Formats: sequence, C-alpha cells, structure tokens
Amino acid sequence: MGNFTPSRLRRVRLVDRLVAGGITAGGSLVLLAVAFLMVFLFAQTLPLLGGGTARPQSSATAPDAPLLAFEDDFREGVIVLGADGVLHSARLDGAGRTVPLEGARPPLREAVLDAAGRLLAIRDAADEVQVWAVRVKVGWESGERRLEPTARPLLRRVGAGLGRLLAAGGDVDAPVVVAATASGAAVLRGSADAVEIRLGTPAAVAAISRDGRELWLGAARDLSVFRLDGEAFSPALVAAVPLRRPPTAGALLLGDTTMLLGDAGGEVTAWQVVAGAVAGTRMLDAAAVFTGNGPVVALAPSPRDKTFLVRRPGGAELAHLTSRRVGLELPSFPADAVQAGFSPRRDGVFALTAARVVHRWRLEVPHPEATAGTLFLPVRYEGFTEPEFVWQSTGGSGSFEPKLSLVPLVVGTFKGALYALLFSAPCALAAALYLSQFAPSRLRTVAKPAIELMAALPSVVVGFLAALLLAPVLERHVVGVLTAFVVLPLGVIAAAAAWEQAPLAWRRRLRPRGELLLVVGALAATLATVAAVAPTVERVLFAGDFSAWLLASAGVTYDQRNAVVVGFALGFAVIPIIFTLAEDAFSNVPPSLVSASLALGATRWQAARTVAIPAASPGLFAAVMTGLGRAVGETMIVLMATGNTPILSLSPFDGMRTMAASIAVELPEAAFGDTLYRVLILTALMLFAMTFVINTAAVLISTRLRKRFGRLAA
Amino acid sequence: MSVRRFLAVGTAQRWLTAAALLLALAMIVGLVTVVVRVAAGFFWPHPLVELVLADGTRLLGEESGRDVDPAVAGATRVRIKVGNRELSGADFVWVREVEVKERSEPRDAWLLERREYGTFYGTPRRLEGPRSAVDATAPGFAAALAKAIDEAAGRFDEERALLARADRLHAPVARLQARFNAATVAGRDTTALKAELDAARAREQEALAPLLERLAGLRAALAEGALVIATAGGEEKAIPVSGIVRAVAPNGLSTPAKLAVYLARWWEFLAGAPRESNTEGGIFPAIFGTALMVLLMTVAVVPLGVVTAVYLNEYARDNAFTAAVRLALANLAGVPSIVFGAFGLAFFVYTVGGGIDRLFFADTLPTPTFGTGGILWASLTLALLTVPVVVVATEEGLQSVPQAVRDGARALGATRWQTLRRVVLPYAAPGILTGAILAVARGAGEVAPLMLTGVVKLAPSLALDGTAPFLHLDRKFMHLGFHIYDVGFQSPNVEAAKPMVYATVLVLLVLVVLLNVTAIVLRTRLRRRLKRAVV
Repeated sequence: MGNFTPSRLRRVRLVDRLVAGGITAGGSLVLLAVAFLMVFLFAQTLPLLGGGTARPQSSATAPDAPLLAFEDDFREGVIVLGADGVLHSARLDGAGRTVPLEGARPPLREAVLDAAGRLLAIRDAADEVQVWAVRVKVGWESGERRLEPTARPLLRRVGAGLGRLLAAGGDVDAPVVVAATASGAAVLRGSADAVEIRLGTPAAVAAISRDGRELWLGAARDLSVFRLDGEAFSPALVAAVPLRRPPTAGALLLGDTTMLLGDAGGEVTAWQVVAGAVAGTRMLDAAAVFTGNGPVVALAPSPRDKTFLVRRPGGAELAHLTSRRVGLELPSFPADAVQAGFSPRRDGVFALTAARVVHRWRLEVPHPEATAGTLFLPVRYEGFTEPEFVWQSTGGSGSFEPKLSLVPLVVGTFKGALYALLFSAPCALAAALYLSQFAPSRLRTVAKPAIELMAALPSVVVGFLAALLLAPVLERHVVGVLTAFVVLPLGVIAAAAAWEQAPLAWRRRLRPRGELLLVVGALAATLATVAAVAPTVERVLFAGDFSAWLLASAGVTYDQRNAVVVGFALGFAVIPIIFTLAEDAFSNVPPSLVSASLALGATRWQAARTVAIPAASPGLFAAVMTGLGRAVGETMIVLMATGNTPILSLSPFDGMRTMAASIAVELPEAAFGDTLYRVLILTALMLFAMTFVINTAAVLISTRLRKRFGRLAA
Repeated sequence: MSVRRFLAVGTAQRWLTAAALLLALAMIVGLVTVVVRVAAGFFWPHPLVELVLADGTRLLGEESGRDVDPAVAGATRVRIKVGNRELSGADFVWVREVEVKERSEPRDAWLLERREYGTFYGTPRRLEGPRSAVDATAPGFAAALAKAIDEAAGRFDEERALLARADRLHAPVARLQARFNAATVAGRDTTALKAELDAARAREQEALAPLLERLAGLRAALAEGALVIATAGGEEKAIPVSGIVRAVAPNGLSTPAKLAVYLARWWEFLAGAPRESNTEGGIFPAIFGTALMVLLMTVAVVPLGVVTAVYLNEYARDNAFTAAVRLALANLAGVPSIVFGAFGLAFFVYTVGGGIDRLFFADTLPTPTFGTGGILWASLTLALLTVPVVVVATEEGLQSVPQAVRDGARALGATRWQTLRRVVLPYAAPGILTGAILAVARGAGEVAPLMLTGVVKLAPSLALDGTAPFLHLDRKFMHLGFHIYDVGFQSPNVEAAKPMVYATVLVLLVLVVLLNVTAIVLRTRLRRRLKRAVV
C-alpha cells in the first residue's frame, strides 16, 4: 500500500483544507453579492444628497476700467471688455490676445451682454449705441490652443436721449436693445425708430427672451410683460402686476418663462405668466419667493438649467427654481464685484471686480433639481398654477424643466400591485386550500406541475397577450367581464345550494372527482348566462356603450390599457407564486391536526376553517406578501399593458406607469451620472428596499412556522 | 335547510375553492391554446379569395379576421389581407359582408413573399428571363418560376458570403481607423498611425478587387429576370425575381404540397434572418442570441450556485451566518429583476466595462467597447438573478444523498472533499442538472434586465462568428423575449407583424415549457429517491 505515504496524506489533507476554505468563501459570496448590490446602488444615489461645492480657482487679471467679462466654453480663459473698446482675451496662463471693436469710440460708457452671451450692446463715448455679435473661437497656433474672440458689428444707433442700457436680446439677425428713459423704456430693433414704452417711472430692470419676442420691464411700482410681434413692431402689453418694492435686479431664467426680480429687502421673486381668471386673459403670478440677507444687487441666470446667482453686498449665493433651494454660498466673493456670471457650461462662476481681477470658482452642483422636496413633495413647475406631482423626465428642448416627482410612479406601482392582488390573492389562496384539503389526490399530480408551469411562463408573453389580446377584448366586453366576476361566485354558491337539495342518495355517492365536474358545470352555466345577459345589461344600464357612459356620468375616461387589464395580467403572474407558498403552508400543517378535528365530527370545511387555515395563516400572509413583492417589481407586463402614462389616478380604467417600467424605459437613455440616471437608480434602490423588507418578513414568518409545526409533527 | 347548516356543511365554500383552482387552470390552458392556435395556423397556406364588391372594386387576398359589422345588425365584416403595400398603402382592408357581390377562389391567384414591401397578391402574366419569356398559362411556368427564385436565392447567398468576406477584410482597417479617429480627437501624434492606416487600406483594396468584380457580376445577374403580375384591379407590375422569397398559388395546391409550404415557412422562420425591420422573415439571430447568452450565464451561475449549496448543506453549521446567507438567497430570488438590470448597467456596464475600456481600449475612446451593454454583462446579470434557482435545486439534490453513504465514505478514511467529490456530488448530479435547467428556463424568459444590459432589436452580427477572437463578449445581441416586446410594441406595422410575434411567443413557450418539464421530471425522480433516503 505505497499509496498512503505520509507526503501523499499530507497533500490530501492540505487539499481538503483548501477546498473547505474555498467553499466557505464561495458560500459567503452570495451574501457579499447582495450586500454589495445594496451598497453599490446606494453609493450611486449618494450624489443626489449633496448640495454641491464651489471652489475658488486661480484668478485672471483684467485690463484697466473693465466693463464686463465672459468665459469661453472650456473655461480656458476670460474675455474682458475694457472701457478702451477692446476685447481682451486673458488666458489664465498669461498668453493673451486682443480684439478691438472697430468704430467704437473709447472710453465706452457702459455695456450689457445678453443671456446667451452672444450679443454685446455698448454705448461709446459719442453716445452711440452699438450691438456686436461676439464669439470665442478656439484656434491652433504652432501646436498651441488659443482663444480667439471675434466681434461683428450688427447695429449702430444714436443713443442720445436714452438712459442706462438695460438689456440686449434676440438673435444675431434681429438684435433688440432696451434702454431706460425718463418715463419708461425705449426698445431699439433693426433700423426702425426706437419705440418708447411709457411706464410712468423709468424702467429699472429689463430682460428680453432669447427669441427676441418678449420683453419684461420692471419699474419702481410694477412689472410688465410685452410682446414684440409683427412687422409694425409695436409692443403689446401681455400682463402687468404691481410690485411691493422697487426691483433692484432682474434676470430671465433659461426657458424664458420665469422672470426673477430682486429687491432691496433681500427677496428674489420668481414671476410667471399664467392664465387669468377670465378665459383668454393672462396675468403675472409670483411662483416662488427666495429670501436672503441684504439687498439683492444683481441676478445672473445659468445658461444650462434653472439655477441662478444672487449677488448681495456681502457675497453671492446660488439658488434653484425647481427645488426652491437657496444655498451654496460662493466662498470669498469680492465685495467690489461689478459683474458676475456663469460659464457657458455652468461648471463655473466668475466675478469681475473694479480692482481689475477676475475671480473664478469651479462649480460642482450636479443635481440641483433633485431634492427630497422635488422627488416626494408637490412642486409648482413653470407653467403650472398649483404645486403638483409630475413625472416628466425629458423634454424637447434644452431649456426644459425636468419634473422628477417619484410619487406618480410609486402610486402607479402600488395601484397595479393592489389590483393584481385583488384578483390573484383570493383566487390563489382558495385554489391552494382546495388542492391541499379537498381535492382528489389524482388532481394534485396534474394541477401542481401545471401551476408551476404557469410560474415559468415568461412575463413578456403574459404582457404581450394582455396588451394585444385581452385589452381590446376587455374594452368591448368590460361590462360582461366585470359582471362575470361578481356573478361567478354567486352562481357557484347557488349551484351548491341547489345540490344540497338533491336526494341524499345522490349526494352520498358523490366522489371528489364528481364534485369537481359539478363545479365545472356550474361555472360553465354561469358564464353562459353572463355572456347571454351582458349585452342587455350594457344596453339597459349604460346605454349600450360603457366607456361613453363612464365619461358622461362620472367624467372618467376609459383607457384601453388600464388597471383592470394589468390586474388580470399581473394577477396571472402572481397566482402561481401565492399558490405555491400557500400550498406549502397548508402542507406544513400536520395532517394529524386535521384528522383529529374530522374525528370529532367536524365537516371537512369546518376542519379547514378552524384548524388548517388558522394554523397556516402566517404562511398564507407570507405568501400574499411575496406575491405583493413580485407584483411591485414586475416589469414587462406593466410595460406592455399599462400604456405607461405617469398619471396620478386611482381609477381602474386609467393606465399608469410603475417604477419598474420607468427604469426599464428610461435608464438605458439616461446619461451615466446625470440626475435622471441617479433618480432612476434611487427608484431601483427603493424597489429593492421594499422587496427586501417584504421578503425578509416572509422568510422569518415561514421559518417560525416550520419550527412550530416541526415540534408538533415530531 | 338553514343558512347556518349550509355554511357548516361547506359545500358552497368547497365549490368556490374548486372554482378558483379551475379558473387558474383555465387561464393557463386558455393562454397556451390561443398562442398555439394563432401561431400554428399562421404559416399554413390559406386560400386566396377574390371579392367583387358592390361598387365594382375587386380585391384579392387572404381572410385574416372577422368582426361584427357596426353598421348592420347581425351582419359581419371581414378583414382581408390585400398586401401590395407599395400600390395600396395598407396591408389590410375591412370588407362588409353585405357589400360583397361575388366571391371566388381563383386557381391562378398567387402570393409572392418578397424581400421588401411585404406580400404581393396577383395573377401572374409571364416570367421574363434575360433571353426568353415564359407565359403564365404555359405548362412549365410554375417550375420555371421556382427555378428562377432558387437561382436568385443561391446568388443572394453567395453575395452575402462575399460581403462577409469583405467585412472580414475590412476589420483591420476599421480598427486602425477607430484608433486614428480617437487619436485625432485627443490631439495625439497621428503620423505613424496614418502610415499604418494607409498601408492597411492599400492591402484591403488589393484583396478586395477580385471580390468586387465577382460581386458586380452577381448583382448584374440578380437584376435580371422579372415576374409580370396583375393585381386584382388589373394593374400590371413587373417584380424582379430576385425580390421574391417564395411564390405560392395556394388555391391549386394539394394537402401534401400545402404541408410542404407550411414546413418550409416554419423552417425559414426558425433558421432565417429577419426582414422588413423584424416583421417578416425569421428569428434565427434571436434564438441564437438567447441560447448563447443563456450558455454564458450557465457557465457563471452553476459553479457559484453549487458551491453555495454545498457550503450550506455540507460545510456550514446552522448559525447566524448561514441564516444570513439564506436570507440573502431569499432576497436574490425575490428582488425584482429590473433592479438587477439597474445594477448590471451601473456596475457591470458603466463601472467594470468603463474601467476595462480605460485600461485596455483607451485608444478607441470615447467609443465604448465594454463600457456599453453586451452579451457578457447581460449573462452575468442574469447569473446573479438565477443563483437561488440553482442553489435550491442543488440543495434538494444534496439532501437526497443518504447520510449513510456519507458516513460510509468517511468511515473508509475519505476526507470531506474526497467524499464530496467521489460520492456526494455524483449522487446529487440530477439536482444540479435540475437547477441548471431551471436557471436556463428563467434566463431565457427574462427580458427586463436585458433591456438595460445589452439586448438590441437588430444585431448587425452574431456574437459568435468566424473572425478572431470568435466569441465577441462585447457585442450586443438579440433575444426572443425582447423580440416579442419589440416587434409587438415598437414596430412600425404592429398589425401585420402580430402573427409573427405569436409564432415567436410559441417558440419561446415551447422552449421554456420543455425545459421546465424536463426539470420537473428530474425533480420528481429525485424526490422519490429523497423519500427512500430519509426512510
């Protein structure tokens, strides 16, 4: 037996120990995987919580008497317009370049830039108002990137008699400039004469929409909106509203629907045009008020979203319209700033000071529109008159305001799950009770695998049939189907009552299989009756068209893909889950208990009701909970059979959108790391948490149950 | 009899519970019946009917549905598939029975399944060849048409093979081009790359020349030959023979001939490539993608599941830790699959895949290689999802091993590992197999996580092919379940594609049911043994 050398034995023992270690590690892997999944998803949503940071960056030097500054797309430098009428491109590494505005006579008196940073309006020493199209090109010169500002003259007008320049706007083909006058404001556009708008007092702030068609004017006592339409170019008043305090600063947020006005009291009010009380009229409404310490000196809108910068004498802070969140103070903001603004990509802020320094901050506020408030509370979005729960994550344009309320999704999820449970839980529990307590044993060998197969049916198949087969049928026969649900149990009960009247000799002879046939007969007869009567019922009760009746009498619309369809289809997917677990729970009840009860003279129903059901009830509860977990997370069925409209409605004839369906549809389109991506991952995490709680509870319940009856059975 | 007594006896309650079970069973039977009926009937060559309506319109097509005529009580309307999409604009028309004046099934009516524009219904006039023409009334017409279609199909196959070769020849150039583009964008030095690229292009051109010549010849041959056919309205149209996939005159066919057409259509469906944005042709790429994805998943999930089951059943004691592992398993089984999809996208695709790209494929960034959905990430995601299935089945297999057998092995001096490897695992093999099969069935039917991790409606190439490295783990793939969702809901012509989707559903159902039945049979045997083992 040379095989059993000590070295070989040692090797065998070593292998044994190594394998044991490996298997233990492998077994722990599952636990690690679940923990990691949870932690990873959580980590992906963490950035939603942070408000963001603003870090000071290296500053640049401005020329003498700087008027205004703006940054290029890549934040490689700052372009500063000096009173000398020259655009100084100050690269941060010092290599600069200058472009004079030819024909502008220095020293320039004042300058304004439009919100998009494309139009520059100046007033030169000769009191001429000029508009220039400005751009920053990135060029290459002997292998070095260079910033090249370009300026093209668009408009030159005599500016005598005009007050301060307030705003520039419109596009390159039709620039518009607004200046204050003694009694209001003057609008300059193209070669036409300046149009004077009388307000009573000089306009203090103004803003022009990006298409140049809408003009907001704030004067000491009121705020007005004008439309600048038509060939004749006569400003038409759209709406006006009195102000409590004279505005000190104004800015039109991206999207041109919200005008921000700051005042000396430190408040920033967001004004929006809404429909008036009388049809066709419009009025101005304060959608939000942001408070702060110290009078508002200036406001600057972000070029990418609904963020804005509020400047006060003591500093500056960022705020966001959708989330109504004020926060993120810019550290060490200069007190002598003459102008401040965002970089084109909203990844930075700069401030120009009279002391010829351009301060810069690097901005990391990745998800300003997602806060606990916007995700779970009603929000008044632009164009809305009331705070509402809305899920509308993407829009047609860059100025779209994302509406990320998770409430419609959560409600839709539970609505679908509850309709599913309403149908599947009674059906599955009753079926499990029948199969475990009353059924002929031959039926068990057929029915159990059949229902297992039902569990194995891919949900995409169920969803497809529900949407393309069941939904149209249900739409035509909704009355019949709903009636059938009420009438079927009644029919079975009636049949049972009738059977009780049958001669005892017949009843004695009935075996379980015969009983089953009787039930089949009762079901078939009831169904046939319903099918025959339903059209009449629909004609008599609902004037022949249920959905029209529904709309007329209750104001409820009938969607073809609605909660009833989903209830059926999801119920179909959930029945086998509940059934299998409930059947297990019934099987775990020791047969001796039921037998004892029968021996004491209980009928089989009484034995089931008083012994089997109470004993199994925690298990049945666990079964329904597990079914709920499955219904909450089911994706393909709801994706196909709900119509996917994220509306907040509890009507059974409306569709919905669930959390799972939103993830499936929108996550592949969301860019990695952006707000929608993180919100959808948060949705997944919420689904995970919900099902985790449900499953853990179910596992604990069934473990306890097994322990309890384990003793009894032994 | 009093109500009280009625309730105590409980006949009604018992019957209600029986009704619930019957309802559940009826639902599943009904579902399967509907699918089988629609899908199985779809490929059968149905008779072509010619209708003359009251206003003199003539229609030729297949009946594809009936409905109540909303205008006339008691009357019905018929949906006719009239095809000829490029002429009529719509595939289907509804015809009210009351308007039909005449109805016939002409023996000379043909249907042409085409590569583009769907089916064409009409009466052939003649077949025009490059040199001669065969009249439709001539005795050899059907054979001549079949031969011409066959030849064209052969040329198509050759063309496809040539194009595939051209693609392979182009592969090195494409790789270099991608690197060159990325280098240009990143502002790196490109002179060496440019020279390499030019050299590769020259080599490609040289190798391509004879290929292109042959291709030009093939295409010229494909352009020859046309079938002149008249619509029911009498309009004549010349359809190139190369555009016809199959020509059938169902009204004159005998049953065996119809059966042959039926089987040929099924074969095309199962083995062919999709046409007309997946609404016609076959689903082979989807079957292949499903199979390959599931195979990769099995490679990942079976070892993990078996090791976990062995750990729980053979190595671990019953303590808090194993309770936690079991809880984790229960949660893996209960967490919605879409959550795994989100995890797969965030972790596998963006984090791991993005990391791989930065490390190994930096020269083609920002075009992702592994940092986008692909078959590897999809199968790993599904592997995570199906671990509990394997664990549960394997544990059942392990429990069926009689303790005496283990004790016997240990008594003979075998170590734990030796016992496990030589005795326990072979004994539990059916359990492991059951687990693998059930996992495959689950994976084949799961769609939601795949939508996030790499499934596409139309994959340009299979993930397994003749170009190195043969198995392309980074490629996107097609999947039967997603195919159903996509064609049934996202295709431009849902109504015309519906029967195809039913057929796809049938294929998926057969696959899943077969797998499950196998697993159930295996498990029943195992349970019988388990009973013996316990006794």
